[in-house]
Amino acid sequence: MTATALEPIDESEFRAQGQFEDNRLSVYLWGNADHRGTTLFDTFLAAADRESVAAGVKEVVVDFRQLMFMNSACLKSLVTWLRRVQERPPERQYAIRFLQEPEAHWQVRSFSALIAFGRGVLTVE
Amino acid sequence: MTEAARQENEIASRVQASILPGEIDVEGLAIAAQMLPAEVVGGDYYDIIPVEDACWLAIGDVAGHGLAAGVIMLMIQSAVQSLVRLSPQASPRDLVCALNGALYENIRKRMRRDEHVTFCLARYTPDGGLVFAGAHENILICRENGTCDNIPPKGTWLGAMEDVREVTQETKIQLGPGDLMLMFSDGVIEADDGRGGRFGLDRLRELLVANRERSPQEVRNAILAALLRWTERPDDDVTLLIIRCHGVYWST
Repeated sequence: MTATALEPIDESEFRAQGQFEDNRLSVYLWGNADHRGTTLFDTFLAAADRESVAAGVKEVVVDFRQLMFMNSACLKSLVTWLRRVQERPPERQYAIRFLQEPEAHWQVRSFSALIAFGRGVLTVE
Repeated sequence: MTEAARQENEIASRVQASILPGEIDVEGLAIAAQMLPAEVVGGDYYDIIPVEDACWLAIGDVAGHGLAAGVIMLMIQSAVQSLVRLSPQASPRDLVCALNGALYENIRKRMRRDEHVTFCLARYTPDGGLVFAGAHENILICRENGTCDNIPPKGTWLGAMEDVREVTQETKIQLGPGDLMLMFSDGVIEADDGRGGRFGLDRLRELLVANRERSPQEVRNAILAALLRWTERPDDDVTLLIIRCHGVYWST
């Protein structure tokens, strides 16, 4: 597969970009994903999912280590994305791996809850 | 928003505000609480339900806010009241799992929406025992000697998966006379100062420790005052539930 990129989010407070390479989509997040970024993040994740299925990727890695904050509405977008993947037939699913910053309280708290219903799809490192 | 929609929102807001408990007397405890909705209708929730030989404490937050979150919040309030009154001796874990079943059915299957709920349910008994379950914010307990315990919940959010029994655990802690406990929603620690700075858990803990000698009402007011200095207008609902343990009555 040739490397391609997702349409990025490039706001002053919140940035996201995704790069396809081999059988993987790598997503990087920076800044503050608050109420101003919710709709953009929803759209970004929907595109990431759609294009991952189309490209037949096996894994999506999301790097949260430079993300300072994510509000509950953006976390809800992650829940929706996980659910969308889980509801597909296994042959059209892909694995999701979150890279977390262990010093970020909101990440530890939120991901420990998220991993319960991302079972079978989501891992957190 | 049309005038009719605005009026309906205001009615929903009044219903929501009136259904939260006012000042409640519970033997051995002094309690102060406050919920400030970010919009007309909020998604935060708390309740205090005294029963014979125990007092149930609940706090939760529906992801997002606005009318849909407010409706789900009212479902939670009614369901928790019913569950606790039906089974006042039940374990918090069992009731959290039952509540999740009702929320999953309503939110996912009937409403076909994707909200989830952070929620913690605690049962306090007069011997100072506190048992809680669910996944909400950490619970802060300022001990009489000035140390502050920061206790994370062990569980997952509600309404997003059909069965949470495997991932819902209870935590048991002991409160002593003079201990001060704080339960809060994410709107407190995530309040934005307009420059990307968050109020944060450390600042909240420092405030609790600095005000530990004061009454729960004074602690609440001090935290709210600091929060509103930090951010003129919080962009998420803010809930505080502050409990002072006055006495411990060992059962015979």
